[in-house]
Amino acid sequence: MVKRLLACLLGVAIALPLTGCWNYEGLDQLDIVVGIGVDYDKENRLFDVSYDIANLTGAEKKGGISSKMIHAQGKTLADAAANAKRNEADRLFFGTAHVLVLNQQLAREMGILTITETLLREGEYRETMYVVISQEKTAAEILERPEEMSGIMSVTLIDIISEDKDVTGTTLSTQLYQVYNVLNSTRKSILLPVLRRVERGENIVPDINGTAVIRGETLVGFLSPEQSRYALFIEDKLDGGVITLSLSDTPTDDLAMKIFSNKTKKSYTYEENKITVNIKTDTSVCIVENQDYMDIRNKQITEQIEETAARMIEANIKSLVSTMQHEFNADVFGFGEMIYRKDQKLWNQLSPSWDEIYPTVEVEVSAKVEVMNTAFTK
Amino acid sequence: MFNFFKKQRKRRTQVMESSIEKWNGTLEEQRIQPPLEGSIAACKQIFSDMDIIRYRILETGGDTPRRYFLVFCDGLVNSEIINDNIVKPLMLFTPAESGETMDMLLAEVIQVGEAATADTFRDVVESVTAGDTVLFAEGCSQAAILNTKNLALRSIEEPDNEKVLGGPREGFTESLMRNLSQVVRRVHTSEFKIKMLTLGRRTQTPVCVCYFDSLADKSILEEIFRRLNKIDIDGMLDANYITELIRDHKYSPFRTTGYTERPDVIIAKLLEGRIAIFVDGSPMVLTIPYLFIENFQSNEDYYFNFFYTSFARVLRICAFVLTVAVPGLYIAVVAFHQEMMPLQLLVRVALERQSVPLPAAVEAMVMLLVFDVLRETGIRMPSNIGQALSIVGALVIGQAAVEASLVAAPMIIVVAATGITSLLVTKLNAPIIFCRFLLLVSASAFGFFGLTIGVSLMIIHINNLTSFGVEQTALSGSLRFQDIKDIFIRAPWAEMIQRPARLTGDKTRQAGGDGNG
Repeated sequence: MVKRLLACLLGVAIALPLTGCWNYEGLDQLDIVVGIGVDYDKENRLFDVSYDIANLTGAEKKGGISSKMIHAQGKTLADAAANAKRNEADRLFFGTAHVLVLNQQLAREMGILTITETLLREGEYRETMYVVISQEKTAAEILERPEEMSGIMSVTLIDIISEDKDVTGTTLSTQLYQVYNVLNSTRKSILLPVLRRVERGENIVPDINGTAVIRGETLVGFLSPEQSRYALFIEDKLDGGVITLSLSDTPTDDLAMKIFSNKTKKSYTYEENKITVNIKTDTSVCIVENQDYMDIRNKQITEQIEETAARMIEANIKSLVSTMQHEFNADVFGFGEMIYRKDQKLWNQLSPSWDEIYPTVEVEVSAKVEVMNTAFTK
Repeated sequence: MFNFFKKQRKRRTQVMESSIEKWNGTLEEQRIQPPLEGSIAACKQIFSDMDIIRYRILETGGDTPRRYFLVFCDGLVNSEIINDNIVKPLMLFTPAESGETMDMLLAEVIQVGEAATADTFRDVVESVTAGDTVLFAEGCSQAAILNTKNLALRSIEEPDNEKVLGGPREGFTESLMRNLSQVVRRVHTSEFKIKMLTLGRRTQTPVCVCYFDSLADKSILEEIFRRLNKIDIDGMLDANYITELIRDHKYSPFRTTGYTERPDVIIAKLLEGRIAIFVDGSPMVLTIPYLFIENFQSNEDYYFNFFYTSFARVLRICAFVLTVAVPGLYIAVVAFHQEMMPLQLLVRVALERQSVPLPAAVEAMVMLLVFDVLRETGIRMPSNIGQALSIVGALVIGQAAVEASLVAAPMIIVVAATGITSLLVTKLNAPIIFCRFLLLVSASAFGFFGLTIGVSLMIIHINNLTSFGVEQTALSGSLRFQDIKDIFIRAPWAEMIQRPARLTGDKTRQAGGDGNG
């Protein structure tokens, strides 16, 4: 009995240091950080970090909880986080931080890999944090709550970013670990969502504005929301959104098609020292707006619509890929990765000069659109 | 000083020993001798200072005068039987010249159905205190034990702690014989065996082991008798005495024998190959062996539609998990791993926890104790002051404490959830309290890690439980499909064509499959 008890205790004692953190920390002694904004003060060579925290001190128990901003400066991110405690009663708790907003200047000049690396190295940060580029002057502005909005600003941002691909389909939500993984893979480039602030009537509201192209680790350019949709097409991440099909010059003739589902397959062929990438999309849509009152019950007409839409998608995808190849020279869609996965030998041969080969890759796109239903009204 | 106490103790033990000797001593061991005077004197000495014992000496006249001596205990006997069926025939009886044996008297004179003869005074004492009348006759070396029992008993009612909506309503009472009658009248087969024995040195309580001969596992039966025979206790007042004396794991809070107050449940369990132990004076009847899942089974499960009852059973199992784990889980999340909670929930909980003075762990322990105090009070207090308790419980503890920010509202919700769910599985009330505090303490010390360790220990312990050599859970070993049909769900009767394999060798419950096929 004593032996068994001792064995149990020994087991527990050995296991204790193997586990994660087990410090008792009362919830009332923590500041719940929901969003982090990173700016860089070039003059003083200091990181200027803004923390969007849940404001509990002034909150009414029955009303909603709003957020509050804390700013701190430091030579590094960890330094800034430690400095934040100087003015606060409670320690900042990062386990709940869901959004990381990066200054575009910082992303352009310093690169984002150091920041993502630091956050991943530190135990407390979430690896599933959404990484966003701010198109405003500072990252803090994005996190700032417009006066007429209640609630926690970062939560609003999370919802905007994470639900985009199902509803709007104009940006790629990317999480912290993905940024690190992809930038360290053969792609070496990634698309990040871009946020800005726009005026809507009297209010200033956050707005998602396409994606930012990161190559290596620095920001090289932006894609418009429309371009970003085709990036989603290529990445096979599109689950919603509306495509507008212009059939003639008059805008009233436009046809709105809601995307039901989309399946994209990418493959490549290597012949005579030439790489050709095939992108095949298979999209199911339903027609939701038919302003021209076309007879969409007629099969010929729907086939015609399908054909036109497919050509449009093909053209847009082609132009996007070509932008990536020639303007940014960023392999965001992982053409190299495809080769690496399928034919290691070939990749070993190509990889040293991949940056030169990539722009020459031929791309063939074949799109298929199927009108699932035509949403009749009586 | 110490010597004095020692002496005192010595003297006291001596006094006790001598009194035991007086009771169990030589006189009782003696055989009954033919001279009636001797028997009268012996009885009067044995029952000295027991003022409810009644003696009656009868003398029949006629040519051959004969003397009889009756002993019985007032209050336990039916005096009509004594008058009409014992005294009257004896008075009218004309004895033969040669004298008669007790057997002859029983055969020809006494008009009592249940009668036996006794040779020693020990039998006499046991019978008289049980409500029988003992008859001595001049010249007989035996006494007659005549059943004249008339015990005051409560009527058959539905047991309070096993109330059901459907199914039979009757429950056991405190009378062993009546309990047995309730069972026997539902089973018309000679396979149903009833073995009597007596336990309790002083109380001499009748105990009875019942089983179906062809269904019960003989090795388990043997083991039961072995353990029962090892019992040497002075009193046997309730079935729980046996439960604790014969259990496999002496110090485990989990049950290793089942209990019920309902005859229908007993028969259902016997039909699965279990063995039942009845104890006189206790409406609780034990069933052996006990499987862990029986904690979650209810007789109603078999009387209602199986969809409904399967859902209810899953609910009970969930309730057990919840009531044991929720306080620990709450502490682990709130005090250690805040990032595990959904953001909005965390923010709300954090808001409630602001300005609460006690740390969450202490708060949880205090509140759980308060709940247990309230629960215990509810059981112990006289029922007519119940309202006061609910006012104190709901108003003071609930509302006032939260409004004064002494206790966080989520904690109240946790305690309420814990308390309500614990009432769903009453058979596990002891282990629930024990395990809940184990998990709470380990979670308060080490967060989720401690919780995991605690849960592991709990699962290991449950998995190690046996009941008379039968594994209570069948987590290890081969799994049979038929056995699953009555665990997490209750399969329709047509599907349960076999008995639980661990309990009996005779597995076939329905030989012909279901009634439709």
